[in-house]
Formats: sequence, C-alpha cells, structure tokens
Amino acid sequence: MKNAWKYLGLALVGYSLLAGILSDVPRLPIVNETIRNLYYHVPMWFTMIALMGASFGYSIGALRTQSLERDRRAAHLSEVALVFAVAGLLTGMLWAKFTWGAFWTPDPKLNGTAITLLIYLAYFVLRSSVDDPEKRLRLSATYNIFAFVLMVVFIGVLPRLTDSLHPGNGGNPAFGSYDLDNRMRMVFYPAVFGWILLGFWMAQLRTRIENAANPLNLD
Amino acid sequence: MKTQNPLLRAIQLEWALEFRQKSAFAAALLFVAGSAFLASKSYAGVPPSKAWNALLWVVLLFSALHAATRSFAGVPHSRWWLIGQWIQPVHWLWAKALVTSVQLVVLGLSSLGLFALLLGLPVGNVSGFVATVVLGSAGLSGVLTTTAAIAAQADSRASLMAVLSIPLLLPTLATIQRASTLAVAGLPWSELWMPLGSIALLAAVPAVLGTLLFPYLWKP
Repeated sequence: MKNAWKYLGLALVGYSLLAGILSDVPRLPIVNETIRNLYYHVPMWFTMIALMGASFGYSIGALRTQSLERDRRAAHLSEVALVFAVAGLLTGMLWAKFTWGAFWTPDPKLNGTAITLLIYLAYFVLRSSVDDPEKRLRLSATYNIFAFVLMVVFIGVLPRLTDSLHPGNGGNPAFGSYDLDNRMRMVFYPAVFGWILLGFWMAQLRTRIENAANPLNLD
Repeated sequence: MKTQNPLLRAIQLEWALEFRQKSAFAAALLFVAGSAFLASKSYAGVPPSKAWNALLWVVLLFSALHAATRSFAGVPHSRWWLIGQWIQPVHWLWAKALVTSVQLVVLGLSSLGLFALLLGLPVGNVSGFVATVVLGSAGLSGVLTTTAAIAAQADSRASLMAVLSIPLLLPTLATIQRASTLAVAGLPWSELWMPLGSIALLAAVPAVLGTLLFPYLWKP
C-alpha cells in the first residue's frame, strides 16, 4: 500500500471539510462562526511552508548533485506552494472582511504574505529567463535557498517587532490560547495533516505529468 | 602597494576596477540629482516630512539598484575566468559587497545632501537620520550583491535584477522606514537602537547566505 498516504490525505481533508462545518465551536464576540475559518485558512499556511521547505531541500540536493530531476521537483513543489499561498490569502481576506471590516489591511502578516508571493513569483521569472537547464539549476536553486532562508527570517522575526491585528499578535488572542478547545483540535490537526499530504500529492502529480510529457527530461 | 593578504588583494583589485569605470557611478549620482531636482520643482517648498522621507528612499532604492546591477553585470563572462585565477570566489564576493556598500553609502549621503539643499531638511533627529541612511544604504548591499551575481548570469539582466531583489529588499526597506520615520519625527537615539539593530540583522543574514552559496554560482 504505497499509496496509503494519499488516501489518508483525502480522508483527512474530507473529514475536516465536513466536520469543520458540522462541529460545535466556542461562541466568541466579533469572531462568532468565522472561527471555523481556522480549519480552512490556517492549514493552507502550514501546507505552504511544508512544501516550500521541501522545495528548499530539493534545491540543496540539486546544487550538491547537479540533478535536473531534483531541480524540477523543487520548482513543482514551489508551484503548488504558491497555489496554497493564494488559497490562504483568499480565505484570510474573506475572514478579514467579516471580522476586521476590510479585505486588506496594512498588517505585518499580510505584508509578509505579499513579500512571500513576490519572492516565489521572482523565482519563476528567473527560471523562465534561463534556457540552459544546467545553468537554470544553478541560478534558481541558489535563489530558492537564499529566498527561503530570508523569508523564514522575515515572517519569523519581523512580525514580532510590531503590533498586528492578527490573532496571536499585539494583544489579540491566538486561536490557541483559550479558544482552541479540544473539540476544535480534533478537526484542526487532521485538517493540517491532510492538506499537507494532499499538497505533496499534487506536487508529485505535477512532476509526473511533466515527465510523461517530456520523457527525455529524465536523467 | 602590494599586499599578500588575499582578501585585501581582492578588495584592491575590485576597487581599482570600479575606479576605472567612474562613468557608471556618476550615472547613479546623476539619477539621484535629477530626481531630487524634479521633486524640488514639483513641491516648491519643503514637502511634508513623511513625503520627503518616502521620496528620499524611493530615489535611493532605485539608484542603489542601478549601481548594484552593474557590479557583476559589468564584468564580461570571459573575465570571470580570469579573476578566478587570481582570487578566491568568496573573496571576490566580499570585495564586491564591500565596494558596493561603500558606493551605496556615498550615494545615500549625496542624496541626503541634495535633498537637504533642494528640498529642505524636515528631520527632527538629524544624527539619527544620518546613521539610518548610512546603515540602511550599506544594508542593501548584502541582498543586492548576491542577486546581482545571479542576475548577471541570466539572460535578461536589468529587469531580472529588479524582479529578484525588490521582494527580498522589502523587509529591509520596511525596517529602514521605521527607523527613518522615528528619526524624522525627532525621537531620541534610545528609540532608534531597536530598528537600527534589525537593519543590521537583515543585512547580516544575506551576507552569510551569499558567502555559502556563491561558490555554486561561480562555475562559469
């Protein structure tokens, strides 16, 4: 059963989609029912970071071994990570409209997201601007490593220096502090785990489609 | 004057090469002067301090991009081989980063001087602001030198340089903005240490990463 992880991912995501709507949640002022967005919004970021981390790993591997296959995998993982970033941004914007009153606010977390999107879009621009595959491997893997470490510094360090409207910052309660009760954990953790598995499956499919389309790519 | 220290030799070489192409640096200075003059024409008087601050940094960012793009793109590919015979790759990167940061500090201080001359100086804490300009301009060079090394090997250099470096510079620029806004508002030095320290941190991380990664970029 080497595909078990895919079924597990599907089952967990399916469960969290349903349970996210049907389960009971704490009643909090302002947030109200939008607290359910925890099940749909936050897993997107966890998945994005997991995929970007894997892409970072493949880029290191590609640089060390000069393997074009690893370089392509790094790119595909980043592509899927970008899909999750957009999904996370959209679900977050929807939530912000109903709790903060606006789709977009100049919030450190939102700025960090915008920067992350720009960095990874730049990575794809770089890839598409180099024709020679070996040179593309060298340049884009270097940029991916450079950008990922800087991004972790940015989103890990900078938001802590300023206040934010976001739950968990600037005196706002995080979901985890008192309102993430055990019932919510029963949905939230499976959702995170399931979406991460689904994300890796998507990246794997992306690589296989590409390999099937260009059989000579295989090295 | 010959020195035996390989790093010093790299810096000496880089400095000599830069000095030979004074026109490019002069172009960056001219860019700053032109923008400052344009701003003084459109404002006719001292602009509000926030607008002044934003203008200064926008002008500085683009002239820095211009100056740094040239740092590797100005080197013909054949010369990468030649330089590789003389000095170690990492020393070349450090020499480039050092020369670039000296250039950027000169650019930053000249922009500040020109802005003060043409637009006035609506700044509360002048010494704090000068320190922010010096540290901020030097802090841009870590990211800019590494992305310039990447962009120089790709095919569309100039546009790629902006695409690659601006996203990575945004956090540094946001921190610089915080420090310079505080200095413009006239807050004392004790309030400036924290953002200035963050600028230094954000400059150090890309410098270390660039050092680790440059040998992989080197192979021509």
